[in-house]
Amino acid sequence: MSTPTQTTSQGPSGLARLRELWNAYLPYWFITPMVLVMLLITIFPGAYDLYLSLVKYQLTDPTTIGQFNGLANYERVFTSGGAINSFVITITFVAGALALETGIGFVLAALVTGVKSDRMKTFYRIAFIIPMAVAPVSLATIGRIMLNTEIGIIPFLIQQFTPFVAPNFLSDVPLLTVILVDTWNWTPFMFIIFYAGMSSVPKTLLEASKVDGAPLWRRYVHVIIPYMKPVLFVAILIRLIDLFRTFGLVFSLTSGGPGTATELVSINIFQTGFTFVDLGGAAAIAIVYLVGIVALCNILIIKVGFEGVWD
Amino acid sequence: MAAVDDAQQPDSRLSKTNRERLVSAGRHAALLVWSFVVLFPLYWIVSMSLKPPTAAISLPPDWIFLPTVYNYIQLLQQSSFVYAFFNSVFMVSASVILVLLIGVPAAYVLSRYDIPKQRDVLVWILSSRMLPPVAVIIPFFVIFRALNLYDTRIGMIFMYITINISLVVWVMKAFFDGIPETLEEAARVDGATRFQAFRKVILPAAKPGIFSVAIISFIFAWIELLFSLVLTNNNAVTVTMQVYQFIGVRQIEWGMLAAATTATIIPVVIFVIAVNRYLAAGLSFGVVIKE
Amino acid sequence: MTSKRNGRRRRNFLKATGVGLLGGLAGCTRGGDSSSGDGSGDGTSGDSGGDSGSDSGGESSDGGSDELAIPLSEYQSADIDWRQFEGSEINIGAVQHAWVDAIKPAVPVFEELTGIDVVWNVLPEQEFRTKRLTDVSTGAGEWDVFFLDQVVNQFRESGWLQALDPYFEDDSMYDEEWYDLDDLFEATRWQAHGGGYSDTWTGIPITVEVQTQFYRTDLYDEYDLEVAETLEEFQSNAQTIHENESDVVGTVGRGQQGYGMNIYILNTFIRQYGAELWDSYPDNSGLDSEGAISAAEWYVNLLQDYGPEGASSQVWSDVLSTMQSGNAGHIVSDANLFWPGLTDPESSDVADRIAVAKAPAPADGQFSPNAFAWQIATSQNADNSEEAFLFMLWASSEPTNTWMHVENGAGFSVRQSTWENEEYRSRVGDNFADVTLESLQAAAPDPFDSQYPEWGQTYSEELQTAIGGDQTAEEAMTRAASAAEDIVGE
Repeated sequence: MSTPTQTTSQGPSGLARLRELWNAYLPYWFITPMVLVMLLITIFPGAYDLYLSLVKYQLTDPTTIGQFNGLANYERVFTSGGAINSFVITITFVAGALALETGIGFVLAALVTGVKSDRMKTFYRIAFIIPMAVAPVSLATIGRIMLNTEIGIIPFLIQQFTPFVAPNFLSDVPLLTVILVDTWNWTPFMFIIFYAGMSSVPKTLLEASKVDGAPLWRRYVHVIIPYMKPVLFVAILIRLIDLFRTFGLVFSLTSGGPGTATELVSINIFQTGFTFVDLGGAAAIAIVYLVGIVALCNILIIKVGFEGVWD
Repeated sequence: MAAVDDAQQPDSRLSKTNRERLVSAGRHAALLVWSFVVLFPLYWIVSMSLKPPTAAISLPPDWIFLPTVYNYIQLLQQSSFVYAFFNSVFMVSASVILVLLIGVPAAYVLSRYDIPKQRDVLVWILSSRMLPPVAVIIPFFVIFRALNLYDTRIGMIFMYITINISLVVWVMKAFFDGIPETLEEAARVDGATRFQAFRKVILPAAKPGIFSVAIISFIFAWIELLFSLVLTNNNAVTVTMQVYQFIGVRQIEWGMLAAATTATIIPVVIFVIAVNRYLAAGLSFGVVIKE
Repeated sequence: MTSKRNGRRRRNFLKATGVGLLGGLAGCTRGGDSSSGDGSGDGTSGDSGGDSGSDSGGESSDGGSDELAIPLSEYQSADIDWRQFEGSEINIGAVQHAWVDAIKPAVPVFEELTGIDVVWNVLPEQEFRTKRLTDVSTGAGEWDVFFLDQVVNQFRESGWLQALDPYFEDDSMYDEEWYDLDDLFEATRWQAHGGGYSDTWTGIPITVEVQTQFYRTDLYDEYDLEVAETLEEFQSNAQTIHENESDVVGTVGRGQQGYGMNIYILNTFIRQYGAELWDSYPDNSGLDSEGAISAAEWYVNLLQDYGPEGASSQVWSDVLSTMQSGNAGHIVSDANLFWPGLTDPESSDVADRIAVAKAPAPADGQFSPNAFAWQIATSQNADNSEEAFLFMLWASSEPTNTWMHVENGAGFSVRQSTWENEEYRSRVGDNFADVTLESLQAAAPDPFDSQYPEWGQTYSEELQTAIGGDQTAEEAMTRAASAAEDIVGE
C-alpha cells in the first residue's frame, strides 16, 4: 500500500466522477489541510525568531535595533546569562517529571484496566483525568498557599498524620516540589493515552496469553507492551517536548527561584525577552533550544521510533 | 478456564479465588491511594470556594463547615465571567472538532502510506509544539494583527488548532499503527472504497484514541493562557483570563479564585463523562493479528 | 452490523456541529465589526470588581438615566475643553488594582463629560506586564492608557512613552488653577518624571503606597511591648513573640525574588542606613556599600531568626495571608495598602487586633520608607494619546480622587489634601491616616534606571539565596553590586 492506485471503474456522472477522484487521491485530500496549517504556524514564528537572534534587538537601545549582529547575541547570552544553567535545570526537571509521570501513568492505566466493576472503573477514569483540567496558574497560586510551611494544609497534614517532618517545599526542595506538582497535574495525560492504548489491545491476544497461563507481568512484557509500543512511544515523546517548554506552572510557583534553582529555559527566555527587553538575546536562546530539541527528537525517532517501535 | 489455570500452578498455596481476591484488594488499595492524592487538592480547592474568606486559609482547617455558595452567586452575577465562560466553551469545542477533522485523516495517511521524507515531516509536525509559547507570542501577535485576527473568535479557534494539531496527528498515527492493515484490506475485498474502509472499519477501531485526544485537546485549549492573554482583548476573551482577575495587586480573593477554578473544571468533567464509554471500547471483534 | 447506525449518528453529529460553527463564525464577524462602536455590552472583560455588583456602571454610555456619581459641574468649572474629542474611544490597560474597582463606578461621569467611551482591559500584574510589553514594543498601540511601574525608564529610553508636557502646555487641555498640581505628593510627581531620570512627565501618578509596619495589638498587650521605632527595638519585639508563642512567628516579610518583591522591602532599609542603590550611576553600585550590607544583614537575620519557615519563597500574598490567619506577630515593612485586607473581618481572623505604625529605622539612621506610585501613561503608538491625557487628568483630579476616597473605599490617594480630609480620615481611622501621611512625607521612592528590571532581578535572586541561608548577606550584596555594574556598564 504505497502510492494511491487508480481505480478502474469509469464513472459517467459528475458526482460519481467526483467520488472517484475523492477516493483515488484520498491520501492527498487527507493530508493537505494539516500541511497548510503546519506551514502557517511554523514558518513565520521560526523565521522571526531566527531573524531576531541575528540582529541587535535590545529595546532599551532603540538606535541600534535591527542592525546585523552576527552571533553576538548567542555569545552574550551563553557567556554571561544563566542560559547554560537553565538548560541543566530543565533537563533535570524533564527527566524527573517524565519518569514519574510515565511510571505512575502506566501503572494506573494497567490497574484501572483490570478493575471488574464498571462503576468503579468509570470513577477512577474520571477522577484520574481531572487534575489536568486545573489551569496551571490557578494550580500554582492555590498550590503555593497549600504548600506554605506556616499556613499550608499539606505541611499541616504531614505534621499531624505522618511521622515525617514537612520540608519547606518551595525554598528547600524547590526542584523536587515543582516536579511533584507537575506530576500531579500531568500524570493524567499519560494515564489517558496509556489507558486508551491498553483498551485497543485485541481481546483475542489477551485471551490467548491467558490460556497460556503466563503470569501477569509476562503478559505485559510480551503481549501488551509490544502491542502498545507506538502509543507508549508517542505519549512519552509528546510529554517530553511539553515538559521541556513548561512555563506557567513553575513560574507561578517559584519565579525560577530560590536563586536560579528552578529557572527553566522557558523562564530564562521570558526573563530575557520580557523583563530585560532583550528580544535578540531571548530569540538566540530559543533558537539554540529549538535546535537541541529537534536533534533530540530526531535521535529518538530514528533510534527508538524507526528501529524499535515501527519496525 | 479455572481448571487450566490451576493445572498450570499446582503448587500454589493460595486457591484461585483467594489469590484473585488478594490481587483485587491490592489493586483497589493502590487506586484509592492515588485517588486520595488526586482528589485531596481538588477537594481543598472546592472547599475553599465554599468557605468564607477567613476560613479558607486558617489552620487547623474546619473539616466540617457550613458551605456557602456566596462565591458562586457572585461569579454568576459577573457578566464578564459568564460571557468568557461560554465564549471559551464555544471556541474550544469548535477547535476540537476542527482539529480532529484536520488531524485524524492526516494521521491515517502518515500511518498507512509511504510519504517522501516521512521522518522529516513527522519531526516538522512535532516542531510546532517545541518552542515555549513565550518565544513565539510576539510573532503571533504581529501576524494576528496583520491578518485582522486579533481579538476574534476565528483567530482563537485557529490558535487552539495550532496548539493541538501535532498532538492529534502523532497520537492518532500511533493508534492507526496499532490497527492491522488486514482490516481494511478485508473491507476493500468486500467492495468498500478507500474512504468507506476508513470510515466504517478504521475509525470505529480507533475510537479510544480519538476520544482520548479529543479530551486532551479540549483541556489543552481550555487551560491555555499566554496566547489568550496576548491575542484577545474583550471580544474573544477566554475563561482562563477571567479566573485570574481574582489575583489582585494587594489582595487575592481566595474564595472567588477557588470558585472560578472549580467552575472551569466542570465542563471538562462533563465532557469526560460524556465520552467516557468510548474510551474503553476498542477492537471488540475478532481480527487477524499481524504478528 | 452496528456500523450503519453509528454512521448515521455520526452524520447527524457533524451536521449539528456544522450549524454551530456557522453560527459561531457569523458571531465572529459581527463581534469584529462592532468593536469600534459603543462598548458592546457584556463583551467587555474589565467590569470585574468582584466585591460589588456595581459592574454595570463602567461600560454603558447610553445611560444618562442613571444618576452620575459626581456632578458634572465639578469639572465644568475648569477652563478645559472637555468635549473636544467627543465620539472617540480609549482603551485602558490596567492591573487588577483596587484603584480600578474604586474608579469604575465614576467612569460614566467621564463618558458623559467628554463623550469619550472607555473600554477596560484589566489583568493580573504578571500577565499585564507581558501584554503591555507585547503591545507597546511591536508598535501596536492597542492601549491608549496603561499602568506603568518600575519599567518606566526602560520604556522611556526605548522611545515608547509619550511625554505629557505638550498636553500640560495646551490651554484647552489643562487648567493649572483647577487641577492644583502641588497637591500631588512630591514623591509621586518625582516618580512620574521617570523616577528623577526624566525632565518630562512620563505619566500621571494615580495611586501611592508607602511601606509601614503592622503589628498585633493583642500580643503587644500580652507581652507589654512598645511600638518599635528602631531596628533593634523591632527585632526584640519580634523575638519576644517568636519565642513565647508556639504558633506565631515573630515577623513576616517578603523573601521571593523579583524586581518588585524582596528588594522592594530591603531598599527601604538600605536607604535608612544612609546608602543608595547607586553611589554613582552607572559606574559604582551602592549595593556593596557598608550601609547596604548592614541593611541586608539585618533583614536576612531577622527573617532567618524570627521569620516563618521557608521565608525565602514568600511573596506579598504569603505575607498578607500569614498575618491575616493570625500566624505572625508583625509585618516588618510592607505596603500600607494591606490595611483594608488586614482589618476586614471577612478576610482576616485578627481584624480587630491589628495596628499600623511607621516602619522601623536604624537608631542612627534616617526615617525614609520606600514608596511606590503607579502612574498611568500613554505611548507614542497609541491612536488616542490626547484623549488619554484627558482621562488621566480627570481620574487624578481632586473631585474624582476625593469621591473615590470618601465614597468608594479607596485608600491610596496621591493627593495630600485627601489625607487631611476629615470625612476620609474618619472612614480609614486616624491611626492609618496619620501613619500614612507622615510616612509619605518622609518617603523617598526608588529611582528605577532603565536597566533596573535586569540588575534588580539578579540582586533579588542573590538576596533570596541569602535569606535561604545559602550565602551570607555580604556575599549576596557584593555579587549583586558587581552584577549591577556589569549589566549597566555594558
